[in-house]
Amino acid sequence: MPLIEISHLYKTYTVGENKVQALNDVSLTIDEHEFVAIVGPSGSGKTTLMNIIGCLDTATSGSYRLNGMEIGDYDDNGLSGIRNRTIGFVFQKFNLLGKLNALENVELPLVYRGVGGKERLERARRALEMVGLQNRMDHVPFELSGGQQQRVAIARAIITDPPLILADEPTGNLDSRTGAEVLKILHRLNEAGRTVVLITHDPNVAAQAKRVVRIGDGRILSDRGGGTE
Amino acid sequence: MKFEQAVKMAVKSIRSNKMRSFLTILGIVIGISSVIILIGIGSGSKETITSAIEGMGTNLLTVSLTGSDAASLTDSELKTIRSYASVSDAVPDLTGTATAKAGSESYTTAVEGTLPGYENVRSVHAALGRFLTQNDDDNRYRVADVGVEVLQNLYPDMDSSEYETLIGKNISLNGTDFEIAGILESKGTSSAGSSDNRVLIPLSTAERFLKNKEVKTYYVAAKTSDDISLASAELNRFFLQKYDSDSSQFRILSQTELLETSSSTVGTLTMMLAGIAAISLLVGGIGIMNIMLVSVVERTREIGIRKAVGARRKDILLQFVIEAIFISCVGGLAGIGIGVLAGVLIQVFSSMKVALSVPVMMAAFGFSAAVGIIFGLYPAAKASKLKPIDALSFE
Repeated sequence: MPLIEISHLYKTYTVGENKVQALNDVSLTIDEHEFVAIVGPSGSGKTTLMNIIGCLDTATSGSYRLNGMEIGDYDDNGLSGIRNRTIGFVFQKFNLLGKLNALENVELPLVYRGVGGKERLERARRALEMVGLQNRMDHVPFELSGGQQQRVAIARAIITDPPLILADEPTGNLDSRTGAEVLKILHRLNEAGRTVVLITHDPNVAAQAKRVVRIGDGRILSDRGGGTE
Repeated sequence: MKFEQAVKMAVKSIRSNKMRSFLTILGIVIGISSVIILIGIGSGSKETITSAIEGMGTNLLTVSLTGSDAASLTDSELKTIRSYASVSDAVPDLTGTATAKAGSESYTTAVEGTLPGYENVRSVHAALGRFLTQNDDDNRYRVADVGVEVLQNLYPDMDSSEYETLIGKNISLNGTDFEIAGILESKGTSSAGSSDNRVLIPLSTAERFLKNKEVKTYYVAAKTSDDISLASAELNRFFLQKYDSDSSQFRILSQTELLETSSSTVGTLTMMLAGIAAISLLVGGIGIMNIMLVSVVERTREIGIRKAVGARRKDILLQFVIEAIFISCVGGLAGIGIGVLAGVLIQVFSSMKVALSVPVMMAAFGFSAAVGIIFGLYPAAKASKLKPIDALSFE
């Protein structure tokens, strides 16, 4: 069953007087339980595609259906709800709140879902245990290493139990050893039934995915190993 | 998101941004407390001066002979003035200075030669002993009613409760001994100087003692406060006639005129203080704006992260509104507290009176709170409208 259905998607930015065609007629379908890497050099449009898939940005034209919902039909509030329930984000720059400790960062999505304090705490603890940070729960981001911060971010991504994990260069700011640990966790999440979409420019990282989608100049250049082609 | 959760989040945000919260609160505190203190001092001085002038007697008219060769009133002229229906009494006041001495202490004081009627005209009474009598004047007795400030300086070690023992003792004025007949009640200090630093002696004695017969000041009491303008007009007519219609030779000042002059002076002072207060309120407000706007980058990224994980616009706004209200109220209450405390301390440790006004407090609080809330909320409201990706990459 398809989780992501993108057809004829365009995205145009206006920079000064120049129009930049970031996405040019992109169509892509990703099924549930897939592990997909979207690769391409910088400026290829892969980050734009990831932002649109993550409902952080909107397309200029075309259709994007996520989990059966036509994303173009939702307003800002609606998109907040979709992000909260359907997507877990892992960013290159971690994007943790610097003033909150690991536990508070992880429980944040549940706060906005209106889950009670006791249940939140319980689930945040479990998520942090899952990424091996049971001893770092009350540390603030700046007291944690890069790899540990990224694991906090993964715990935050999975706490709402979303069908889709969206990772944008998750190993980009990490050394190869901690990067490998983070990838291992993403694999585990995929084995547990979640769809993982990974954006990277690193061919070694991409090689770990079952399906690799290459992007260049805003178009899909190749799609290898996928079930839909 | 639940309201309770938004409150918790706002409090956490305030506590984890201690410096930012502190500086914002400081801006509010400085603005509010300076307004309270400065306006308090202004209206306090006004009250002090008004009550001091009213304490001199509201029925009082002062006639000053301003011409250098203006002749003093003769006894019969004084009697004529006293005979007016609107006038209850009129007394001459012959003034000079003298050095008072007792033991090794000396003090320069004002000497006023006058008549017994002075007691009621100026409402100055003897707290101890007696006031000057007609008999003192008739016989040119060297007796004196002494102000407490003179005694405090001549007898620095003596407690005021022992002043009674001084009655009947001698005080030396420029080397001449005067018997202390009475001690004047304290009138306090006003803008016109101390009313307690003076010695009253009989007019006839003073003419010899000061070697001067030219009385330049007369105090006239109107029968009631309604008679003041009538008495003033009659005096004016009398003196015009006496000085051949030369109005530059004398000046008649009523207490109400004095009150008007000084309250307009104090009014100007209060306006000036209020102006300074308004500037400090503005500076405090600009400080708040600065801090809030400087933290926009940090806040916008924070809002981007919160929206990415599912916060809706109203969740963001609720948190920031609560935060801004909380900071404004804490700052406002602290500002009022510090302003009131400083006002009370100024009143206790200086002779200044500070009149604290609740409407002023409310207005200052309202202004600072509005600045705090508007500038705390404005960047947040703007950032919460951005697409999450724009907020996340905001620099």
